Amino acid sequence: MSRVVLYNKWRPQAFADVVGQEPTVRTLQNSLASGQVAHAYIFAGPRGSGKTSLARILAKALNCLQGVQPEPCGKCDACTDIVEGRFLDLVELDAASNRGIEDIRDLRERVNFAPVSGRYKFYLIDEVHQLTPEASNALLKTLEEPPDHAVFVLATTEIHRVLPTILSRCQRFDFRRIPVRSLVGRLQEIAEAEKVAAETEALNILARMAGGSARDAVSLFDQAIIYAEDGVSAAAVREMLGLAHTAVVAEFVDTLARRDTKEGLRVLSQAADQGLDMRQFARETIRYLRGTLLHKSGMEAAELLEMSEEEAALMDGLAERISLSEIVQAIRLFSEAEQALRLGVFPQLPVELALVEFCAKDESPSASPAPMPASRQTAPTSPPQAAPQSAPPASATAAGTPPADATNTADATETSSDPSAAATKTTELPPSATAAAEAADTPLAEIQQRWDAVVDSFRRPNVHLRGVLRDCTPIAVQDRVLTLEFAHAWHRDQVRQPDNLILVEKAIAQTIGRHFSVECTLVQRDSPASAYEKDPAHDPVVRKAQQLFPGTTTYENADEESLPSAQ
Amino acid sequence: MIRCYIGHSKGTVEAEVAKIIAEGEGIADLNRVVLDGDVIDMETLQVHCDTLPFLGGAKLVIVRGLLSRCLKEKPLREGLLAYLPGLPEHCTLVLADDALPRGRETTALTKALRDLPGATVDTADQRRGRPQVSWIEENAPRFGCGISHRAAEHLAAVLPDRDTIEQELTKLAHYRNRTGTISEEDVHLLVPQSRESNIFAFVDAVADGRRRQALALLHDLPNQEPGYVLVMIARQFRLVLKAKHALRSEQAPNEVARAIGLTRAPQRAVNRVISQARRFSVDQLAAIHAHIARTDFAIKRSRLDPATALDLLVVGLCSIASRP
Repeated sequence: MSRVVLYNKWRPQAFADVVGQEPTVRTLQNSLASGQVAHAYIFAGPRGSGKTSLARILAKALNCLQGVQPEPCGKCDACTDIVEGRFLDLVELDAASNRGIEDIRDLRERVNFAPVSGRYKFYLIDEVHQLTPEASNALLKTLEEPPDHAVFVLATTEIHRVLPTILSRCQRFDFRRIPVRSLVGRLQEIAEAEKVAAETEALNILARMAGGSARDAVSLFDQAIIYAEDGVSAAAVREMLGLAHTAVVAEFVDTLARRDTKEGLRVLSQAADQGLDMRQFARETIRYLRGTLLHKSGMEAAELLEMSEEEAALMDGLAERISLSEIVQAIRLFSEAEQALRLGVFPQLPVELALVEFCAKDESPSASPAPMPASRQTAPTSPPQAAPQSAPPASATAAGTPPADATNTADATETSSDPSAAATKTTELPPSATAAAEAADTPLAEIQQRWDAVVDSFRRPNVHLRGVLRDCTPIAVQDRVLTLEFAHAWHRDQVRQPDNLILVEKAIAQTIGRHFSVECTLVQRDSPASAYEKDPAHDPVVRKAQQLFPGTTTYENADEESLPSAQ
Repeated sequence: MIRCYIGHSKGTVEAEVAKIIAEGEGIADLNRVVLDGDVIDMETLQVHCDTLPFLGGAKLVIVRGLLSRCLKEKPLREGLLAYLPGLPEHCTLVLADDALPRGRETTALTKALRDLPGATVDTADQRRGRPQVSWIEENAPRFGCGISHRAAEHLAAVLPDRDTIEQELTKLAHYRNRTGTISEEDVHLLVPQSRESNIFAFVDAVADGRRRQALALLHDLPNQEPGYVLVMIARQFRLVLKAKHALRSEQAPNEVARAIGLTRAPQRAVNRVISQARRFSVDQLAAIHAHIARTDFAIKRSRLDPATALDLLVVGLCSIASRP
């Protein structure tokens, strides 16, 4: 005999069973009690938050044979028919697969028929944002003035994709992610009813992993029951999910704070030996770091991320030993590692690399300066020669990772209690950038002068851009928009790709010390006004020749006619 | 008898109609007709109005949207104005419409209607701000409970029109079980637009480099689907950048509203954008946009967990904003 999965068996059947949506439940129950039910509702919220379940309960309450009441009896024919999915007056439409105008026309025709056995004809349109614009418009009139016997409930996970004209015709309820506490309570109820022994810590882990979705939580619990034969213990749940114990993650993050590569590698190796899923380990590390980031920013991180008291206490200690910019840097590195783990052959390697890279980095936040106008970066609070000396250019960071962005300078705001320190940090700037900024008279001249440095700043994995950028010349700067002229369309298109464009803009900002937006154009070969022809010094070939043979250069135009014939 | 309701919410018109029914004698269900002004022609309207009531002494004909159509269609307007003086006594005609556009034709039409014998034209006060707050306070009892002044102000500030306000008042009244007073907390808890308006406060917090507050507001934004939250943040900063450009070209505040495409938004929202534009430099706004774009890429390419990406974004934006 087939087994009914728990999330189906324990789907809420009454308003009292719904967890985490108290304001919505209370409002609906009061409207049922007063007999003033709206003709159209829209339930919006993340998956597994109870939208469809609540809609079905509402359908039961409206059609219950005991009369319209704040809680359906759950026993009458109407209630049981709805539970078993054979109530003729409950029409469920999946707008993801019935999204066309024909489906809605069909619905409009049927809506005028009186209910077969119930009091109300109840239409539940799930994923309503998937309807085509035409179908949505066709639904408008019906929603505005439906017959008295019809009630519509539209459910969506993406409310911003629903037409405003539909929204204005419905009473809207926003469902929230279900808090871990409520999910744990629900799981405990199920465990008791199913006569399954379950540790509270195990339920906590399951609820946390469900990410606010009751369906996911019950599903995971179902899996855990099958996985752990002798009751659901925290250890079994961790083993099933490949999760590390909080203490292990805390120990690992602590090695990051101390920049202790050797110890960090040992913790990682131990975790791998225990059979922990490295991807999950990276995720747990990120989650832990994120908690520390929020905690350090003065937020109630434990409450926001629904962490255990143990985790909160560990995070508290860590927050004092790690700076905000280090946290940001670590999150980025481990996120990249987590992504690399999806494709990698060696499951431990990306995490190890992230650890080594993090520990190898210079602690100074100026190791990755954000794009800033040079004039601002050379603020008078710090002697210009002092800070830059210790600050290697961002492009020289270990392992050739792309230069970090503005978040890496977060320490500038972190130490707001010490304004002088904050000011000192913001003044740090690569020396080359300062010199260049002072040397050049115009932005274009400055960029042209430092263009080779911009091109050379590209390292793996973006080294291909170096070759592509060699094919172009900065030809104009206007309103902070830098125009690059390319000789080949393919090269131009490469740089135009949004990701590459950001990298190029970042490299320019880091080398020049000011942010420029980049526009790419192609050399107009037929046009005599081409930049190379106007000024041959822009031509990459000429530039290379000048580098090889320094000295005064004279340009002579060799007309095609004056060239020796091929013959 | 002719009753015109212009710019009133659906609920208000329904309440007025209920009064007419209560006052009038013998307007039974069979003698009530609701017509769609968008499609009806004069001939059909005349038939409905002229037909004698069935087993009763009076008839009620409600037409929605006919007046706005009359403004666009001259023959229809002329036909209506020619017919109305001869409206049979047994018929009460209710013409309900959304707010009509301002202009000479609207004035002429409403004047002509007012001049008809036995006609009343009730135009709703469409001004936002204080009149809207007063309207909410006056009308809340209609939904079964009172409302605190702060809650009314909050609703008036975040909701676009009276129909939406009525929807939300209905919901709030049910939440309070139609007793007591709707509080500002109730509004914050149940009205999604209330938390959406936090985007302004969020941008303010970013502008001041108040990281803690910015993070708190971010986590309080409704429907925390990260893509959507990012769109909200990006839109707001794009408006600020546009306003910055408009201000640099020395445009007056009302011209700024046009330049940034917020002509239909309340003046308060426009002023807020302008004040935010004054607090950021162009460089900061450029860096902020670049940062938002990077976050977008990181989320879409699964380089960062969306929620973490948003937290990092806030930290980064505050860092940019707190630079001199």
